[in-house]
Amino acid sequence: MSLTKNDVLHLAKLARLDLTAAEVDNYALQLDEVLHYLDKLNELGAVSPAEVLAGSALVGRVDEIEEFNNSTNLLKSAPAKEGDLIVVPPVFSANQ
Amino acid sequence: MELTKLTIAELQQGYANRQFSVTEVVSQYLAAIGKLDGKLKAFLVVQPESALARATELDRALAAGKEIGALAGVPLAVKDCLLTKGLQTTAGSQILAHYLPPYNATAVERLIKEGVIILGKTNCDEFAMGSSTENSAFGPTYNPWDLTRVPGGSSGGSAAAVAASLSLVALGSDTAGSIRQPASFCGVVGLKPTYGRVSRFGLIAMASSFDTVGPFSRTVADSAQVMQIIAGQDARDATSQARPVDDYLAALTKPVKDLTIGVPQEFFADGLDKYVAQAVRQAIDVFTNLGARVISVSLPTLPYALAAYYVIMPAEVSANLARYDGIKFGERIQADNLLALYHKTRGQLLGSEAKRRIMLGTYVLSSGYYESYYKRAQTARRAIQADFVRAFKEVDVLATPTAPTVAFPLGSHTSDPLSMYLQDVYTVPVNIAGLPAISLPGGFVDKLPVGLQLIGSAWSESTILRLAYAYEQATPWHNYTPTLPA
Repeated sequence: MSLTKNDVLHLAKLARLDLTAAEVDNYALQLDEVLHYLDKLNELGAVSPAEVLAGSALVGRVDEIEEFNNSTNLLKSAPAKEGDLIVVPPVFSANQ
Repeated sequence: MELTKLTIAELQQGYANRQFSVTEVVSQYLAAIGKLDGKLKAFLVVQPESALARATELDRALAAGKEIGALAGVPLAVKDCLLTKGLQTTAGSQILAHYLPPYNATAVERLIKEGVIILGKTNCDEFAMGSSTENSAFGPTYNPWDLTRVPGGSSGGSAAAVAASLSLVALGSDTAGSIRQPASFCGVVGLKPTYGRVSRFGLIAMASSFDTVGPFSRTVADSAQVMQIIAGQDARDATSQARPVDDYLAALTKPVKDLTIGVPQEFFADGLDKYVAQAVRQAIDVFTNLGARVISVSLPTLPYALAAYYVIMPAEVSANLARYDGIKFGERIQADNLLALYHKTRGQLLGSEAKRRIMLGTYVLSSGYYESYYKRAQTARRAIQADFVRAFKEVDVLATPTAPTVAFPLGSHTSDPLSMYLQDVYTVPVNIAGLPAISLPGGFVDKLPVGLQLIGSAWSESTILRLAYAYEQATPWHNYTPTLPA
């Protein structure tokens, strides 16, 4: 099975990426080549449950309340602000 | 006196004996950067004022006889995907072109507490995605051994800076080889710790189940000293483990006669440059001469490591990079509605490799493909981990080439992503299994450095450092330095 330009456009839509026509052409070819390489995984048989290792252990910690005093600096990172609020465009534009 | 050629131990002795000041050392490094970095482009930003101010503070503290920290006055360069408070951190991406982090990465914070002097931030492939540093939105870094060649990647700026003596040590990150492969290409030491040994807090996430933070240096002992500080549990990284940290420096001088070294045959198969193979085999002979036992081993699942990685990693990338949406931080392309803002910001400001991986990740996680890609890759990951566990029942360390070739010319893989991905074939299995590994200078081919990779079982950093140190003391390679045209 190969990847079509429509597939690439669909993926780009899911991933919230605007692509140029040239990018769509390139990605269709390149992603297709990579997906073919990934087919290699089909050669590998099942792994016996005894050989399945536990994943790296997640570490717990005490649920303590910690004061966070860095909000001013965090807000500074936002690209558009009004006072302490982050500005975003409307979810729907006027013509929708 | 050429202060940029000294090791950490030599600097510390010089400071203690008042042979030279921290200000003199920092000034020489800044002068070297000024002279050579126009050609190398290892740094994205240099902070001379702040570095010199810190040096003055340390000199005053030294004169007053105050305690100044285990790495006081040690010049450090930091890969630009590690957060540095108030100092530009771009991860090599346009989308973070003017980002000033509100806090330090834990590894950076710990080193600052011990008195390091941060000279600047080093270039890298965008979001650490690449093996040549050519994917940086701010242009490539050049290899100090041959300016027509890449320094490797993604931590190419850190490796080049250390190789050219523009910094004494550097921090990098390694998700599939991004510390070890550039260390190999630039002829320096690069250590990738066990997953969970060094906190990932403040490392800009690429693929979180593989990402690690580690040091670059010109000698094994210097990497051991940096590792000593950055290793250890951090409450802000839930995958960092509480295990006690070994005394890495003390481990270096222990004998290596009792070690068994495995040479996995799969690492010497097709695709390995025959001169690199020769150099690495000669390097392995040195271990026999040192009295260690060298045996041949097999890791039959190794050929599946890269394919498994190129499923799991993009899946994690597609989730981790969702945060770059033009809202809370980073750059924004204006649009008249929210959805268009997301599409334009991400489409225009993320580079081509980042977008390629996001789409690949979106694909392998999408309905109908999850079983055939993601689940299968996770199964392969466990099989590879099990292979390593079996191998480490027989041997203490695995010795392999770090990369299939020496540094390649700029542009040789940029139009063919798959050929670039294959650069990671010997380093990626280590990340799949979460193991520690070191790349160290292991010879030369055509006047270009060859890296020797030593892989240890989980948490055995002190063993691979010990073997690396014994090899370094028995060989001349670390004494060679690149000569850059003035």
